[in-house]
Amino acid sequence: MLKKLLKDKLAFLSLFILVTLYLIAIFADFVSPYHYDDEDIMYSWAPPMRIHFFDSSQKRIGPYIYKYQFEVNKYYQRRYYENKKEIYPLRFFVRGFKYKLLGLWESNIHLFGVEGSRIYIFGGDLKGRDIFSRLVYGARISLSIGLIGVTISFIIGMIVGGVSGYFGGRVDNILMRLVEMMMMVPSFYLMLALRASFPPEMSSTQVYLLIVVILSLIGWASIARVIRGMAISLRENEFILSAKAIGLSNVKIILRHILPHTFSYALVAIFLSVPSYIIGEAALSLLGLGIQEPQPSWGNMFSSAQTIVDIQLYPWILIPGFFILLVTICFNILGDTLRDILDPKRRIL
Amino acid sequence: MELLRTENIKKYFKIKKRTVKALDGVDISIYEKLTTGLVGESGCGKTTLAKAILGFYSIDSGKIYFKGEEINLRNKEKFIRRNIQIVFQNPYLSFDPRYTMFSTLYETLNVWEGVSKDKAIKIIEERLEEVELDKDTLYHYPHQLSGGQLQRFSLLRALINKPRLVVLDEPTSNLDISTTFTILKLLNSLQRSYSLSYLFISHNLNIVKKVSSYVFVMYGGKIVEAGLTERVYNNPMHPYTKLLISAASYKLKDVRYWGEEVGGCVFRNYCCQKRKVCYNEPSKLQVEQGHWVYCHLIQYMIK
Repeated sequence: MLKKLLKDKLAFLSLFILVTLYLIAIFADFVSPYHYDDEDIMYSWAPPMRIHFFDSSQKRIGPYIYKYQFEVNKYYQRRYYENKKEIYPLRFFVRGFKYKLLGLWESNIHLFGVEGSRIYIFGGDLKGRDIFSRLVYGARISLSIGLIGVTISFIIGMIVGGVSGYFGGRVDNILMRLVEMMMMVPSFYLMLALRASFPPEMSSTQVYLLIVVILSLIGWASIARVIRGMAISLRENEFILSAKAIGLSNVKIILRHILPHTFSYALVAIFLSVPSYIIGEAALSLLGLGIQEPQPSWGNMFSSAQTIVDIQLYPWILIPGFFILLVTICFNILGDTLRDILDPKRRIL
Repeated sequence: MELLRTENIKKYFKIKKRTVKALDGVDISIYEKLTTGLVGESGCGKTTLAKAILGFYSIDSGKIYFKGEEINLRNKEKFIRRNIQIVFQNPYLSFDPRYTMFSTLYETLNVWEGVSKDKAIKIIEERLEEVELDKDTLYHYPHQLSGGQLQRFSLLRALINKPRLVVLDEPTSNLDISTTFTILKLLNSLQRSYSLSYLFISHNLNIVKKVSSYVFVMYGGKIVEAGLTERVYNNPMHPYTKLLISAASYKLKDVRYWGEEVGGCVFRNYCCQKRKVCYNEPSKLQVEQGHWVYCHLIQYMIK
């Protein structure tokens, strides 16, 4: 299956991008030159820095940046310009703030950086924090929320669907009415209502866990419905009757003989529904209900791009939105390709 | 000795507004260490009866006794599973395609008591010889095996926990003639070595004649004739049995029961000797020693 997946150029590209992004998220401390909370007011709304390779005499002296300085114009806005006299070469594996790699090894080596000045390749935000570093740290939250949320909602959905379809009758009736109640409420309002039912002041880890739980509580219902349908058709199979006849318990029949047959559907559906979790987090953050500052997530970074004036003056704050789009497209392409591979006749979904 | 007895069991299916009487007062007896045949055309309720005996369907009314103990009760499921096993018609469909034969059998062995893997291998390999299977086939997936091999495996799975009664639901109808023959031989030898009882369900009369000592003929959810195999086959009394055994005395026509409401004798509409009495429910009549028939016409013949 993986071989076929890699043969498809688009799918391979998507997989490559996703793997890269996840690796970046895992090694965020190493990749980012600054801590997400490291602010320098001299760089407030600094535009992305240009990395130069040739100096004014067209002589190659390797990647370097000029120091950014600003002057205040008559509207009291900062206008940044490059101070051509101060050259700071871009260095790889430089020493910076201390961190614990994977929470195990203490280190202060960073992938890149400059000594003596600051480098903001994606620009700075209002408080003068590096958007690139925040983006890298935000990937940890935005990318993991999708996977963890999907895992939880699939576990719930598969168990409820499997039980409902296998037992049928009254159990099925009760569980499906529950599912319909979940599906009846528009998911966005349900999300807001669930968020509102918890206290607004919480630590960032609590908020993170809460959002994961909220998103999975919304997502499981539609999965349960499909799995139920598959379980009903599997239930009448002779191999299920045989398993029943030898005296296998219902739990074992569901876990060993019904749910494994729905895995190929589940795999495709997982890939197709991860983006909705990332977008769900972004939507909550947009309303200020998601991950709280200073903890970055792509959603709350993107939420600063709410006013047209900000977008016009500082267009680089749209970068997190671009990454959300990129991840969404990659997951969708992977899901579509997987479906074509697993099910060329389009029987499922 | 009587092993299993059903008493007037009824199972109606409601399909939309129509009621299909799949089982309409069926009485059968299965004797210990013997094979009981159940013959009838497709859709006459044979498989429903098998599933009712195994407790897959809850029956609407009637009772099922296993060695004098009522088993159509909810708390008797374990008892049924220990004592009654089933072999299905299509061997290709009766194994989960995701597991090797070994894991299926290992799972079966583990149902009642925990068995370590090494011990399970030992037990299963021993039993493999009984059903004339190769050791290599144990680690194959169902799709890699032939129908005959799979049917042997289903037999092995049914027998591995040592049940008393095995329901064979058309075990040979998906196999070719020579495989059928070897499977029947195998069934016979297993019956002797484990003193098993079989309920052999089939629409193939010749096979039933060969293997069974008792035979029940079913039509439209009812037993129409029952008795010792030789007597039923040599001296069929019910018009339907006659039709089944020798099509000669009847014109060849479709006598299939479609679940319509008949009332009285179910076979009446196709019976060319139909009389007014046939509108009444026929009762069990003894023709000779060990031979019963549910037909009004017998009264006239005997007189």
